[in-house]
Amino acid sequence: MQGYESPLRPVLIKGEKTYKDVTRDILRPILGKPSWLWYLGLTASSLALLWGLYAIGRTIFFGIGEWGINRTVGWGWAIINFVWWIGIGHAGTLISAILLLFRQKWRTAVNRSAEAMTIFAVMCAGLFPLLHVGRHFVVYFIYPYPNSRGPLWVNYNSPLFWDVTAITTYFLVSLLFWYIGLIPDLAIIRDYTKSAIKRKIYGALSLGWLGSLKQWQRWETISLHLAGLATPLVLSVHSIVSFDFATSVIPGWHTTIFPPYFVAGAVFSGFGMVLTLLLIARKAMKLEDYITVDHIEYMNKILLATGSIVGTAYLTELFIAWYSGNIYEQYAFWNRAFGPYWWAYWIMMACNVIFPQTFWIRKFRRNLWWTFIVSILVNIGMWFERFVIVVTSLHRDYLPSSWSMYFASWVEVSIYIGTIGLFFTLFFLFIRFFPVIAISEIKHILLSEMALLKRKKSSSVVETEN
Amino acid sequence: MIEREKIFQVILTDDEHKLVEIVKKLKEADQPVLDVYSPVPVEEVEHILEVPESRLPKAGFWIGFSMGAAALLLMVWMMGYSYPIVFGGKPYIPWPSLVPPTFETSVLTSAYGMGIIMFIVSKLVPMLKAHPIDPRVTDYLFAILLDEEADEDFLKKLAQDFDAEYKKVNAPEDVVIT
Repeated sequence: MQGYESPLRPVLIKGEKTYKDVTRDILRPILGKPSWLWYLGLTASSLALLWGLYAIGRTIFFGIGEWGINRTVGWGWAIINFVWWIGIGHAGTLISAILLLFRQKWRTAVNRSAEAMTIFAVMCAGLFPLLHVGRHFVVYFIYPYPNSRGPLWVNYNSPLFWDVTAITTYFLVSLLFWYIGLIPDLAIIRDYTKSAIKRKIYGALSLGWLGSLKQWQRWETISLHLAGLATPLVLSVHSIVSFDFATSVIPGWHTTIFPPYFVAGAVFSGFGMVLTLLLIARKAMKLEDYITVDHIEYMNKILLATGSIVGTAYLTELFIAWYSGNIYEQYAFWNRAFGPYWWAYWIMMACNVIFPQTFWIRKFRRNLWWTFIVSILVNIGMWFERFVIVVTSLHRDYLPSSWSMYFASWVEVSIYIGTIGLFFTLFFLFIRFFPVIAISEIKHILLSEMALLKRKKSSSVVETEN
Repeated sequence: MIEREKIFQVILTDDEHKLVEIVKKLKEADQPVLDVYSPVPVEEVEHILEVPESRLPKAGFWIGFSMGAAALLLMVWMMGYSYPIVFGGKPYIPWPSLVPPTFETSVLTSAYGMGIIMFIVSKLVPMLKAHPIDPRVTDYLFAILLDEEADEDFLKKLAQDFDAEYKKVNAPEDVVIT
């Protein structure tokens, strides 16, 4: 895994560390007692989850008449939230798979939590189509299986079916990738902890890992090849999500730029969420030595790049609507910007296009407070992007007599709050019981980082002597 | 299950470079190294000991390829022969539509195929009781495992030269993972 080392590259780990230090630093929050803030966070997110479960219960019991959707706007908050959550999940796979293939060493500090985030986000996303199908108890009809109706098979022409296969694969492969990465770290806790119960639990979870020659060799091989598989997978998932819209004939949806535009948007929102969570985690868990300002800056650069792609896509859509001469398309975009939902469009534009552009300036990229604010704005903006795409396109289509407005009911809002609760509940449990930074991967880059630190120190000594 | 144990000799060091040097010396002296345990993967040791490359990628490729092909054939049969339906005037067997499900099936089966094979061949089984040669190995130590028959005096001398630790341990007979 050794490649060219730029002498200008900053050291990814702060201070002189040994293997022992890395273990101790990262395991401290797991082996110690959690702070009151952790309890507060877990309680708040669990309450949100319970509230969401109540709303889900109402939806299942009374049906989707509980929602604000109507005949014209048949896809509402459910699909918006589905796409939003799936998008958030994209950063995890991007960091762990694509950046691994590109040999980006800085990923080691953030990949574990980003992968966990992917899994939790996909779980939240999966809930929405599940609820929207209406007949929840026969939801397995979406998979092809020999049945007594012919057998009648599923429609393989439908992007909705492709979506089912893509999301299922994405979730399962991400889970495998995450767990395989965790095994050596779980074995460290097994051998490190003094508590007999913890030793038993982590012993069972680490599957008898010894760190032998062959185990490491296979672990590295499978990590690399799963990354190779996950890379086209992650690109396919949001492309397929975009096909849900792009293969229809609704103005504003029937667009060929949707796949790359959706993938860039997904990475954009995913990095927004990773930044929000990591900025809190690094402070609360005192991991500043491993998640440095340089890491934040690298992620902000990705945010800037993907934000610019998304901004270009917005402008391209407007240009093509005008250039095509298609009056329905032109009206759809005029309606987005100046129709009854103009506020959603301009919130989207401001959050996604304007604020991230401040990251062209180094001072802003390295300012943690500004990064935190922008990371939240990005996720608000990306939520509104999906709102704009779904609602403004549907509520006024070809037939003015069927135009309508859509406002979410409190049940829809509660389910959304519930998924945020689910996400954070799982995340709080994760940071308490699993190492939030991949210990083995940090150790793997430790020698080269310490050598770089030494070189930098000696060269600065030479410089000062001169 | 009764686990039969036997005695092994172990050299322990906390320095990756020393580990590589010790393994080199052992190889030169024809002392067969049974296994090496480490907190991080050490590719150099793999090269010195001429550990054959893993065949997992090949297995992954063939599993993905064959399962993808099977999924494609199954879909062709379902749509074209078992219950043909006209969906909006499209052909019975819509090749472009079959690309995404075929791709996803390949990726899923290939990933899980490799994962399951790795778990089995690397003896990674849920609830398995681990027998670490030394509990410090997963944290910061590198351990070289040798047979009881290996030259004890040579090993002790080698350990001393590199400021490493030498000890004898009891471990299950089948502790070595090949």
